[in-house]
Amino acid sequence: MDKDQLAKCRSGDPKAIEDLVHEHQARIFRLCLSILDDAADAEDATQESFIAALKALKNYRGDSAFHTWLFSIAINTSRHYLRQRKRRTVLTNTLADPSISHGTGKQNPEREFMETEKSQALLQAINNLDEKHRLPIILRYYHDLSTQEIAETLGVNVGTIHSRLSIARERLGGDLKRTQGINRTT
Amino acid sequence: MAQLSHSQAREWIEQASDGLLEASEQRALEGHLKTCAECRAFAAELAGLEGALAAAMKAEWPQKGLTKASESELIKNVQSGFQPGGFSFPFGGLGILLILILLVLGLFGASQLFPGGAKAEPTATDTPTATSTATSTLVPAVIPSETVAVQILTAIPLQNANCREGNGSVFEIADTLFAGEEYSPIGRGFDNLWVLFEGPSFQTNCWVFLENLTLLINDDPVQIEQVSETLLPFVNYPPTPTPSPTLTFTPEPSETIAPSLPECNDGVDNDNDKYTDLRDPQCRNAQDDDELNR
Repeated sequence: MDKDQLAKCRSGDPKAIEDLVHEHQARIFRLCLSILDDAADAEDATQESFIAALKALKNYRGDSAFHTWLFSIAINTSRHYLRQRKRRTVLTNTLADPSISHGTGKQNPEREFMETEKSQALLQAINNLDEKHRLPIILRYYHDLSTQEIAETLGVNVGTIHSRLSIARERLGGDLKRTQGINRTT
Repeated sequence: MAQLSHSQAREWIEQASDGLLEASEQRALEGHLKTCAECRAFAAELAGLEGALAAAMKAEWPQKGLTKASESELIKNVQSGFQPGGFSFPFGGLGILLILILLVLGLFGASQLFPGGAKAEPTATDTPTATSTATSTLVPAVIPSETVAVQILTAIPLQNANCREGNGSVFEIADTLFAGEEYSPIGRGFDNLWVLFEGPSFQTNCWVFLENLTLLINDDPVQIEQVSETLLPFVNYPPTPTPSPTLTFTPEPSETIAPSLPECNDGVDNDNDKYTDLRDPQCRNAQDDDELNR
């Protein structure tokens, strides 16, 4: 999004706002969804994020990439939602529904079951992480952000992000091994 | 080149995965991996975990955005929810404060010029419409222009700065101030360590640690101690929140998950500066959750 477009958005130009929302809605919605794990909340948070961004646009000077800046706002908006809800959503609710398949289709059924179990265990383990370790993992492996981009988005140092990713991976790997060990013995 | 230890190699494998390894380190690591089956297994395990993480999350949250209908509704709601061009005071809260000061001084001047007070027109209780003429003519008489060096205080974050609900990392992040952009602080803590702002995105008050900011008066950098209380009043910090459990998932007893300790109390040199926990000068106290940023 170039400066002219952003200036038009600032002045409330409906077409410019439409273009901005159209360009970024998918990534922002997915970001909110990955934090809130609730489609309806994610849609609301997406809307609030865009409105908050438009209000804050007068402060944006282009020092960071626009999408990084927008990500920061969406993360903060989602945090507000999490706080309002006063609870953490368990990510695996939908996975508990046997009608929903997350496999790729053509696998050996036993292997597919194992893969689904592993995914379920991982999602559960991600959900069990505290926010400061969970967000970098989601941004890194779901949104494919680089360490540098995560650092900019969350407003912390690259070294801190690396440290948090490392700790989170160690915990996730440990949880996964424990779960697989339990499954093998049952 | 000296032999890599296993622990150094593992750290480098993780750094390589996060895109932080220098080219020369990358070459040294590759050399080590050729001869170390244990570290190769570690690298393979890490790659497997990363692949599984990406696959699990991408299956859970599909890689698509809103439907066409939802997008149209979103656009409509965003367009109607954003009202640009409304009157805003210059310099935000500070502008309001300056205008109030001028109004008070104007009224003070009026009372000096009209000692009878009761006979002076307009009175202090008049509506803004009634006082506007008197104020605009009286203010210059009371405050000669050479003594009214209007001071504008602003703050520029050195990097993207978390704006928290209170003075410490135990408080929730309420907003973000972006590096290089200019903001108007509205208060400070009694210890001059944290500065209060109205969050730019959510318009709620929040605190930023001073070390993340440059303060300026009329574009000249100043130390916070040089800033008068009129420009930046002292504001009480909110009470420290009592920690509450954040997990709703209760694991089986055999799967006990270690609670997350604050970085300044976890026995780990989280920022790799050779100082751990409270020995790290960046740690404020044992509750501080960041060894790098205060």
